[in-house]
Amino acid sequence: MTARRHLLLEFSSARAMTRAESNVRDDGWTVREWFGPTPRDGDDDIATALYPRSIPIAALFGGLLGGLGCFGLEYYAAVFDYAVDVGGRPMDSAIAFVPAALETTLLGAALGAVVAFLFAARLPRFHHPLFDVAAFNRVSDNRYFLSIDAGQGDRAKRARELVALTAAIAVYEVHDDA
Amino acid sequence: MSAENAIASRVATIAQTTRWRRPGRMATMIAAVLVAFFVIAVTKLLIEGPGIWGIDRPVEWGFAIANYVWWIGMGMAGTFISAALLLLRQEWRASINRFAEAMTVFAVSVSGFFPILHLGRPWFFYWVAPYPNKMALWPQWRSALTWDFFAISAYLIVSILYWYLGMLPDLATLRDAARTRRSQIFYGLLALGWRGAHSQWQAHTTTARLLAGIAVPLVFSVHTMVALDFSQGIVAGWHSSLFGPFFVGGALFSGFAMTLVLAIVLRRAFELERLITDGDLDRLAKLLLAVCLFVTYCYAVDVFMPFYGGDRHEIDTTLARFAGPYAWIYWLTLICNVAIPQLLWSPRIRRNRIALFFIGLGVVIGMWLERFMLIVTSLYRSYLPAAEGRYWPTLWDWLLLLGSVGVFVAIFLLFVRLLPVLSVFELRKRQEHGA
Repeated sequence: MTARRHLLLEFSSARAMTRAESNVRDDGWTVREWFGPTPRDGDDDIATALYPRSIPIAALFGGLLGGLGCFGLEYYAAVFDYAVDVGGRPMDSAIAFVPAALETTLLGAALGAVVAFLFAARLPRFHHPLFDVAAFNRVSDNRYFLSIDAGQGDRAKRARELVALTAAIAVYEVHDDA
Repeated sequence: MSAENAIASRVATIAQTTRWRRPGRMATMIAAVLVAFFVIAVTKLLIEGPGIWGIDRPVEWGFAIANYVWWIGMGMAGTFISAALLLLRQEWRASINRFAEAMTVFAVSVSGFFPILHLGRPWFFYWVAPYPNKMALWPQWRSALTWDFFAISAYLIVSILYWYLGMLPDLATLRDAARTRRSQIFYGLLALGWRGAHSQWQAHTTTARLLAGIAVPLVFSVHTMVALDFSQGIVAGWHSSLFGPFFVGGALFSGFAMTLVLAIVLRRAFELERLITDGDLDRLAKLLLAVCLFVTYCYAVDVFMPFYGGDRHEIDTTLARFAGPYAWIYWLTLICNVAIPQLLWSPRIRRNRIALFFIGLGVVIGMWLERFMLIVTSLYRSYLPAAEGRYWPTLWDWLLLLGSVGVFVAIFLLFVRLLPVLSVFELRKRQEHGA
């Protein structure tokens, strides 16, 4: 796999980073990712509240699997495999099967959502090239970072351009294989 | 140092201080003694069987089931309060949600001991799970006890997932703030490599919201299953369609009270006045009062329905609660759960931490008394006059109850010691928004 190179810009506030991001885009750079200690404003707007879509869809299917699976198991056990006649009452007492199936529906939906979350967030991944940048450990504290495609040409010169353009605190070079 | 920075380091020092101050050490020691009680009581039980308890015919559900319902009730509120406030976009949840969720996980874990220990042969508890076995048996799917097994297991797993997911970004904060190699590895493993990337935050926000949406109906269904353990039977005093909402209301009541108590203790112990503000305690107290009114309504309906229905046994059971041998427990329940919480109408009381602490503690105790009252007063007289009996706890009942409190406190202290007790990233967000 060929390593890709990109530049990591450090900022001291979300506002500085947001401003820099639009400058960088206007100048024709490709912004790959944004990093910060809190979710970004607007992430919980109704319109985008359930992105990425894979997570709610996984929750839906997890819930269906959990619910129908449990109901099916109950039905099979109580009607076919272990039918006990209690005073002639019907074997297929479907309403009594609902409570356990309801709980497994909710359990399946939660498990589906969490598994999809791990895929969407690409976790767990204990080592990442970003962790090689010493300053990056402040991303969970009070620093914001923008990751930008480095492109071709003279790296040092391009880094200087970026600093001038964005007023970043610092620029780091990262070799990323993903 | 910026304000945001201060939050992180404040919470991180709680998790990583190398030395407890004296109250912390005292609490740990007391908890350790109580845990020893628990171990002794359980060992004795496993050797000799439930005969060491005060239970007998007709009262076959003594402390064990009261403790179970009490603990799982407290376990309802943490996830509910956190999830409901998340869905309603209440940013003040940041000051209480984390430890309330932790309280849930630990209380549900402790509650799980009791139905198992009550089985008589606890080592066969897994028979209630459906699994292929050479006895060719299946669980009884029409029994509330089986539903209960599914409810508790599902609830415990979902609560842990919700708690852990919410903690992930804060574990990364602790990882990055960790000084020693050991704690770096510990928090590094727990944080799963969280990087705070936008795509991760987005997935995190989405999943937290989905889990909250799943958790709220789950809370209601789980404690309704607990109520069905009672109302599915034909015992006078239990056989009522009120029991579902009645139990859910009671569960939230005891859980909110416990959250309030823990909030006040944590705030005092770790000087978190700026993070758990007076306003937050005030809001929590108002919630407590609202649930108190609902529970009061349920008590009233629980008295009204037997007379409205006109069944002799139901009426007798109700009258015996007022004036029978266990009447003092009934009235004490009403004092703790109905009368005293009315003080919360006063804004002055809601701003008085000491008053709030004792009102909360009173409700927690009152809810235990209520569980005990509901169980014993319905069972000690059955339909047969000759079958009347009394239940009083033995030493082993008490040791198990106190021991379970010790287990809860011990796990909670470990949590305070090792994990972020408050939601750092949400507190930062709250501060950014100037709330």
